[in-house]
This record gives sequence, C-alpha cells and structure tokens, in this order.
Amino acid sequence: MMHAKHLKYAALLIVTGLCASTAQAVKPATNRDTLMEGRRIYEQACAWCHGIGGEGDGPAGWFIGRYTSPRPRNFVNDGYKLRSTASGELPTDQDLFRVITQGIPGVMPAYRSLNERERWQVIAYLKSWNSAFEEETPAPLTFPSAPPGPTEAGIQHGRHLYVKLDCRVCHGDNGEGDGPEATAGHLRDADNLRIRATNLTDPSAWKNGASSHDLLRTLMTGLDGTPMPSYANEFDGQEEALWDLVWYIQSLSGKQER
Amino acid sequence: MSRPSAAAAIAPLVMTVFALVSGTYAVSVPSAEAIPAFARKYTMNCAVCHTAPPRLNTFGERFLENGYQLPGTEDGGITAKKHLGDLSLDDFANHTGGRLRGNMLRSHNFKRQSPPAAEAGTVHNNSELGFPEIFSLFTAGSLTKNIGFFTELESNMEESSTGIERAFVTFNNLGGTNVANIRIGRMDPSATFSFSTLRQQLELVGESMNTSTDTVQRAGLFPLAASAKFYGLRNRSGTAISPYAPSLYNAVAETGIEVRGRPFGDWFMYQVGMLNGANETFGDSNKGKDFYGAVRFDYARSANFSASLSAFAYLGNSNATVLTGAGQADVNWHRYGMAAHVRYKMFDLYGMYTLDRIAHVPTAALANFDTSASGLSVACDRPYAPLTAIRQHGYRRGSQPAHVPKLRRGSDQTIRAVQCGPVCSKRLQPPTSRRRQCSGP
Amino acid sequence: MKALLILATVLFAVHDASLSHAEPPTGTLVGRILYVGPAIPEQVIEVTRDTAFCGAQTTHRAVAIHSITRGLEGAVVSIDGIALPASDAAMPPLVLTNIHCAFAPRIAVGIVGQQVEIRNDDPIMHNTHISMGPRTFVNVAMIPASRPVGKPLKQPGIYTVKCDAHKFMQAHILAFTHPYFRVTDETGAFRIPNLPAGEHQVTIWHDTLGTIHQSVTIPAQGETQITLEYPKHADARKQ
Repeated sequence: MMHAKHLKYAALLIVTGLCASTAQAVKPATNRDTLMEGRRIYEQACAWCHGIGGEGDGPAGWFIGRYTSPRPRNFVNDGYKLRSTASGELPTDQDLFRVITQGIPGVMPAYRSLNERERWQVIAYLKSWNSAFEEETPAPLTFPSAPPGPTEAGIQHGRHLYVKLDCRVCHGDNGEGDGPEATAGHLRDADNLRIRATNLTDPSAWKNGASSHDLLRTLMTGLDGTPMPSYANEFDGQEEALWDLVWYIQSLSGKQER
Repeated sequence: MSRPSAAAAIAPLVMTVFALVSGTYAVSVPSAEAIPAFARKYTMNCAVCHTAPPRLNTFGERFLENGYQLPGTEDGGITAKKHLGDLSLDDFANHTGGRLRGNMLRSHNFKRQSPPAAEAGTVHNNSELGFPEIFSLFTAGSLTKNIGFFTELESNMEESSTGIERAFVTFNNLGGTNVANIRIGRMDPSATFSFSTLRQQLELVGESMNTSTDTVQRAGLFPLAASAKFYGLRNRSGTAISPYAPSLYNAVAETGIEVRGRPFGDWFMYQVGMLNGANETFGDSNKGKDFYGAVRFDYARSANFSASLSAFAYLGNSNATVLTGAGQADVNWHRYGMAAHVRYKMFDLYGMYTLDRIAHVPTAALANFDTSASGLSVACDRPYAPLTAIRQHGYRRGSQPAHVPKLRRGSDQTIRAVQCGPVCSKRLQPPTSRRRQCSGP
Repeated sequence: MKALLILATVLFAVHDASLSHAEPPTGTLVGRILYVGPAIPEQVIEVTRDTAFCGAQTTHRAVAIHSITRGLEGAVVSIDGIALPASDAAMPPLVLTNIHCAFAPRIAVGIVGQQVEIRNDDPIMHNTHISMGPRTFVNVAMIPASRPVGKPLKQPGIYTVKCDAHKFMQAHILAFTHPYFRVTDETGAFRIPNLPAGEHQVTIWHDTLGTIHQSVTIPAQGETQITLEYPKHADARKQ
C-alpha cells in the first residue's frame, strides 16, 4: 500500500519536473530578487524611453513620435496595444515577451540580446507598476487555425468584406492608409495624439507583426488605445470568412507569409 | 603673420546666428553624423536616437557610448547574427551609409570688406552650382560582442582632397557593464562631452582670409568655444592654424587612445585619453603626447527631460609652434573647459566655455602674442517639424588682430540657412574663398 | 448533547428570523437639478460620414433644460460612502445602442459587475470605443444588426464612449459600486430610495457643466427634498 503511494508521488514529481522543463523553464518566480534584477535591466536598457517610473516619459521618448502617436508605453496607467487577448483586456506574459524579443518596427528595438531569463525579469518588473495585473487574469483568445492556403474566391470574398466592414474608411481603397477618416485627420489615439492608419501594403512596418497569424490576431483583438477595433464579434463562428479577409489584406502587398 | 595690437588683444568677437534648418528623419543632414545603417540594423526610425540629426537624444548617446550596441545590452554580433570570419559583402553594405552633402546653388554678396574691395572679382556671384561638395562614406557598427568600429571616408570636391576623416575601434564593457570602454584610432575626443563638436546642426563655414596680408575678411561660422581662437599659431609643419578650426579636445579627428566609463551608474562618467596631438594627420613628429581628462554628470530619468554637466582638461605637449625671428618654436597649448546641456521634449539647449593657455612661448614672441584666450558658445535647437530653429551665440576673447572689423548683429556676416526638408536642400551663404577643412592643417 | 444541539438550532433560527425581519433603510432623497445660467444654444455639428443615413448635420444639446421647471436633464445624482448590504440579485444588462447615428442612452449609469451590452440598430457600421482615461474598456466593430457585445463593468468611474467612424457621436457611462444613483429626467427631477439615515455627501455630475457636491441629512423614514442649481453651486473644475 505505502509502496504504491510512494511510486505515485514519484511519478507526479517526474511529470511535474518534465512539464516545468519545457517552454517556460527559464521564467523565474515573481519574487523580490526577480524584481530587483528586472529593475537593474530596465534602468539600463528601457528607462531612456519608458522613464524611470515607467510612465512613458523617458528623456528620449518624446522624439519617437514628437506630436504624433506613438509615445512609449506608460506601464502605470495605460492599457496595452499588442496582445492576444480580447478587447480591453491586459496582455499575457507571452505577449509582453514577444514584443520585447521582436521589438516594434520603427519605434522599439528588438532586445533579443537579453537572454530569456532577463526578459522575464524585466517583464515582472514592468508589470509590478500596474495593479490591474493583480486583479485581472488575461486569457488569450482562441485563434482559428489556417486553411491550406488562399484561394482566388477567398481573396475576392476578402475584398468584399474589406469594403463591407468599412476597413477602407481608414485604410483606404488600396490599403495605403489614405482612407477618408485618415486623410481628414480624425484618427486619434488614447492620448489624443494624431495617429495614422497603417499602410497595409507594407507589412514590414506593422507593429503587431507581419505574418498571417499576426494579422489574424490584430483583427481579433483590436489595437487598444487606437481607433482599430476588434472584429472578434463579427467573425464569431465564421473562421473561413476571417481567413478570407486575412488573405485579401496580404494580397495588397503582393506577399503571402504563413 | 598676425600683429595684434595691445588694444585689440582682448576685443571680443561676437556672432549670432539664427537659422532654420530642417531636422527631420535622416535624409538631409547638414553635417556629419547620422547613420542610416543603424536604422536599418534595428528597423528603427532615426528619431529613436536623434533629436534632429546629427544631434543625439539620450538613448542615442548611450548607444554611441556602448560601442553601437543597444544600451544595457552587449548585442554586438548577436542582432546582426554574424560572427567574425563569417561576414559577407551584404553584411558590410548593411553597416555602411553614404552621404552627399553640398549646396545646390549658392550665392554671395559682400557689401563690406576689409580693406574695401579686398575680394574684387569674387564679391558678387549669384549662380554658383555647388553640388555635390562633399561625399562621405561611413561604415560603423559592432563587429561582434563588445567590439565596435567606425570609419568615415570623406571626399571634398571643393578642396580636391580625399581621406579618412575618422576611423576607430572600440572595446566595450571591459571589467563589467560600462566600467571601461576603450576607443583607439582617429577619433573626436569630445564625442561624449555635453557639447560635442560634431553634433552641431550648423555646418562649419570657414573664414575668409586674405592670405597676402593675412587678414580675416569674414569670420568663420563655428562654435567659437571649440575653435582655435589664436592668430599666429602654427602646426609643427609650419602651416598656420585657422583661428576658426575646432582644436584640441574639441578637434574633429585626432589620433590616440582613450578610456571612458560609467562605473558607478549613469550619473557619472569619466574619460581619460592620450593623443599624438599637434594636429598631425598621421604619425607624431615629436616625442610629446597630449593628455586629456573629462568628467560628466548626468541626470536623465523621466519627464522627457535630461541634463548633463561636463568639464575637461587638455594638456598639450609641444603641440603647436609660433614664429620668432629665429624660426619656429614649440609651445604647449592647453585648454580647459566646461559644458552643459539641457533637453526637454523638443527643446535642446547646450553651451560650452573654454579657456586656452599657451605655455612655453619664447620671450621674443611674447610682445606680439596673447597667451590666453577664452570662448563661449551657446546654442539652442528647437524643431518645429519639419524645420528646426537654431540659435547660436559665439563669443571669443583674446588674440584678435587689429584690423578685423567689429561685427554687428544683422551685418552681412549674419548667415541665414534654410533647409526645406528631406527632398530639397537650399542654402544661402557667403562662401569662403578658401574653405578650411575641419581636420588637418 | 442532543438537547443542546436542538437549543442551539432554535436559537439560531430565532436569530435568523430576527435578521430577515430587520427593517431595510427607507430614507428617500428627491429633488430637482436646475440650470439658471445663460441659455446655451444647441450646437450644430457637421456629420462627417454616412450623411445619406445620418443627415448632413446633427444637433447636440450640451445643456438640456426643461422650459417650465428649468430642470436640467441628464445630470447624474449619486451618493457615495454608504455600506452596502450583500446582494446576489442578478442585474439586468446596461444596454447601449447605436441608433440614428447617436448613442442611446447618452448618459448611462450602472453598477460594477453589471454587463454592458452594445447593440447596433442602424443599417451602417459603427465602431463603439469605450475607455476610461488611457485604458480601453472595449473597442469593437459593430456591423448593422450585429450580435450584441457584452462586457461586465469592472472599475467604477466615468467612461467615455465614442465611435471612431463617426466623430460626432459621444456618450458617457458612469459606473458605481453601489445602487444609489439616478439620472435626472427631462424635468430635472430624480428620486433615490432606500437610503439609510444619516449625513451623506451627494454628488451631481453633468458632462458639460461639471460637478456639484452637497451635504444632506437623510431621515430614517420619509423624504428629503433638495434643489440644486448650476452654475451657482458648481465646482470651477469640469469633469
């Protein structure tokens, strides 16, 4: 009887150990040491734009946008733009890890030279400024998997959706960011700064990523703090239509990345 | 040969320039140093490092100090994903930036000259085509972790000269993060100072000299605190040093080695260096080396604000000569200075005060030669996208030849420079009859 | 042992009974919010998109005053600081509708935990963007006759509602941690029942005129009547 119990415990320990050794093995617990290390890295690498207090007012942060969007993220008050969670929700830790690793084209360098442990430490530190992370548990949306590939009919349907869903109002007829609302200067971000509608013909400049999965994620989550809404409600139960729209948008730049 | 009278010896030289220059993202840069290669490597726009190129914001300053690696990291060779011995031509091209610089069309019109009609024949010219004037090729970046490099090849068509302007290698984060960084080669000592010679919006405009009478007909345009200030100084090969040439600690390019670091945190930086000195392009014609040391205190935390205060001492060792009846005599030319900068959002204010002393002047030359001079330069840039308004005041005391007319504000020596934006570049300025190059004799 | 148990149960039952028969608070605050300042004319706002459906222009009454009572419509009266009894009562959703190129209601009030339900009853697309300060609450595209989007209110405070496709549309949602609030009707009148007795601070908020604070004393039973006037009592700061 006791022998079997011990075996059970051993098995449980081994399984737990194996699980822990995959994906997030280097993610340290959020304790005082982690936060101190995170603070050290933050103050050497991040505070120039994000400010010593995380309010997005670092000495070098203003010039990125000057009088237009974007400003560096304010970790104390703001919501977050680049996520895999529903509209209005906080990002997951994996979202923050992705942004630090890949950077944001044009405005934030990629910090992949910091090792993974250091990146997790910095994430723990910048989360510590916003009490909402303690109150809310962000959960990623379920993203539909991709069909085998774009079809001509699918892209045509995507064009039809692009017009029906008023994408052209901001992004323009050919996706160049010159829609009527954009050219009229009506688009403002959460700080009331002028913001441009993304040029869909240039995926390398997309802040949320250029792959088809990134594009799908952007459509589903919306970009909080900007006029870009979430379309998750409209595509609920219509995954194929969503992918048609993704293929169409990618066809605007003549590139199809999976 | 300059013959300053005693009365004129301490006459001040004051110059005020008000200019509108565009300082938008990268393309059209009035003077040296914005590097598009870094923007490509990190997929950034230029504003991440520059306020208005070539002026750096605090992030850009720390990037430069870290040997062109992201501040707080040692990502040389990692981000580019190549290692030494594995480089290809594409990699090299990715590190390279080129720039053509010049005036499309320039016109000048001297109303007053000293003596009158001194530059007859070149007084009025409305249609001089001057592009391209200077072609620079930069290669810079990090070779591998903690090893950085910079080279600038410049071809000046006006002067028909091509040469390496600057070239150096850096070894970073020795002994710990930002404890010691070494720079070896031909470099600008004041790169990390609160007032950096090369990080000026206004381009150097040399003075207009009448070489037969050795008189200055029009003052040059450059921060006077950084300039040589003295008339009658020559380098070791006997060529006169222009009083408007940036010199010593504030030189554009000197050959030497320096160590620099922030071992106690961002708030304090030390810098110690040794140069061949003596304004020599290559080699050292004397045994003596020039030494310099600098300290800098920084405040850069939040509220879109940063400030710094720096001080330096530069001790020359037979780094210039003066003419006496018996020929050239070595002198020791020292400089001490302080500078400060304040930056708030779009507003960039910086200033420097320098005090030069020449020691070891032979008695025979002392009667005709001031042994001290001082300079004060204060500049303020404020971009009004896409234009930048620049105001620069220069003030120099000491070593003034008697026959330089006193400059008044609004006289024809006031320079107005307008640059429209990335596409067009149109500058109106009285040109020099002999443009003095920043580096070399 | 058993006898003691029975006694304890009986005592508990009696105690419970006494609790369930406790008197709920019956104080009531009634009143009227007036505006006695100079007349503010209706603003004519140009319609920037979908003029075929929305019309070329729309009017916005920043200050809606009743012609007879001079009552102010759309002011939110609330009382904070009252300890709330536990309540598991299900709350109906707070419905916010895009209709005729405007939000209805323009001033919505709800309780933290209550579900906001966004609908689109127009034949054109709307993009309903609700945020509190820099933090987005929800930003969703709503196609014509779209399925409603629901999200519970988690934070108390004042939310701004706008439509990114139609700049002229605007609304507010005020969320409270208690049920002691009302929006004034077209005569400027309001009535807040079930208040406990005592001294309370009343807050009146209007999206254009700002905030007024007033102390009132609520009796144990019966009504207290107050009348407050904008702009006389208003704070210099506007919300």
